[in-house]
Amino acid sequence: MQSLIRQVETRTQRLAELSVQDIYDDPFWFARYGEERARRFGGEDAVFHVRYLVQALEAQDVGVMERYARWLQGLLVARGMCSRHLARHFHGLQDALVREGLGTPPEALRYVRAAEAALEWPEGPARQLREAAPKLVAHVVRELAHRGSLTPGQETRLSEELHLQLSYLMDALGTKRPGLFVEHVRWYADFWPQRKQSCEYAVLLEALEAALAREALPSEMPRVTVATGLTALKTEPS
Amino acid sequence: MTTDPLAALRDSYLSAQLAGNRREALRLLVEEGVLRGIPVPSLHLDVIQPAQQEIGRLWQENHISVAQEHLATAISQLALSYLYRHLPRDPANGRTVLLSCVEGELHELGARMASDFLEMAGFEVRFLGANVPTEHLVREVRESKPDLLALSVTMSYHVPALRKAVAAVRELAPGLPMAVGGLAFTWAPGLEAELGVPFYGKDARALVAAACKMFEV
Repeated sequence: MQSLIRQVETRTQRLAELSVQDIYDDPFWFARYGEERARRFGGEDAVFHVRYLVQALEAQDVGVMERYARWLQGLLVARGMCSRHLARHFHGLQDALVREGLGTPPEALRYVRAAEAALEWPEGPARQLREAAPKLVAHVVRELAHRGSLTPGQETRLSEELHLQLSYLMDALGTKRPGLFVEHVRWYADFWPQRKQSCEYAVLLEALEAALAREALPSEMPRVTVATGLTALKTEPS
Repeated sequence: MTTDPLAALRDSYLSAQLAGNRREALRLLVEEGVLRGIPVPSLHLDVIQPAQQEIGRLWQENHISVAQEHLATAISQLALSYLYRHLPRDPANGRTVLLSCVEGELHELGARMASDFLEMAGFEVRFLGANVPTEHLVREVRESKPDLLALSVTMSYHVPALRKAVAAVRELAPGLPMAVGGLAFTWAPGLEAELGVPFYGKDARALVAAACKMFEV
């Protein structure tokens, strides 16, 4: 175990670089934060992930990573990211550990997985939404495919997009700040053309709202929040 | 509308901080605090500290910028300096405490507050402030020969620096009692036991109570 900790610590910079090297394929980062800031903060955060991992391993306390993940979630969802983005970062770190031959003993991987899992909202409307997400996504994709034929590739990209939008929605509900979703929708509408999806952003959100209505979750908050986002989109074009 | 005078003072102080109004913040602490008989330790623990915690929350949730957070914290630094002259002090108890933030740690407000509390309890305090390189900390321990060393860590990723500092000091002065404290310990419960330090200060009052008990003063 001590050997693993020292190896992770020694390779902090390398692991951090590997963990984020693919994320900038997504045009979101440069569009949202500008290339310089996105690369700088992305790189710094990746180093922090590894430093916290070292600390958690030294303390033999997975809770260090879990608390860090939740703290980071509170910090970053208020600044335009969603938990799915953070989960991807943690996933990137898992891949980097494996590539560097640090997958065994399994503690480092296990601790990073725990950080990823800690991002899931444990209760309330956010949890209801998480549990309903697979059905909601499948329903919306089916509905949009019905309106116009989609290739398998387009369906996959649409599914991923829906999961991303749901992550923003869950974060807004989980933090009890529904306004965060509305802010996100306003910004994302301008970014949407870069996604090159097969439908308009408003159409996607309308289909999501309809799916939420059909699914009849115990809380109305998810549907109402999407509806508020749509209203903002239609009445306050940016 | 709150009827608790301390809570009301905290809200006003926080508003002054957020407005960047140093004069108003100090006026509140003096005119609405000291001159109305509110004990200085209460101003520390019930006004400034919770206001700082709220500033931290506001920053985390992106309601205020980094610059605003720094502006607000600078006001609390000034407030502590101002209140320093009003500290009620017990007679000197003959014990010296060396307080320091570990290498890399820039958050010194908590340690500074702890220094003031120790001084109020009659301890001679040597406060080194933020980001003290371990080798210089060790040198200071060697030269000033304190009765107690207290180390502060706020950000959890500075815990390795704390480990390094504890090990280095222990090598030089194996018998020197050490206390540790700071927000980082809420993220790593049990760390004080792992480090083998005799106690840690959950807050400034707890640190003073533990130090007084240890030295029977």
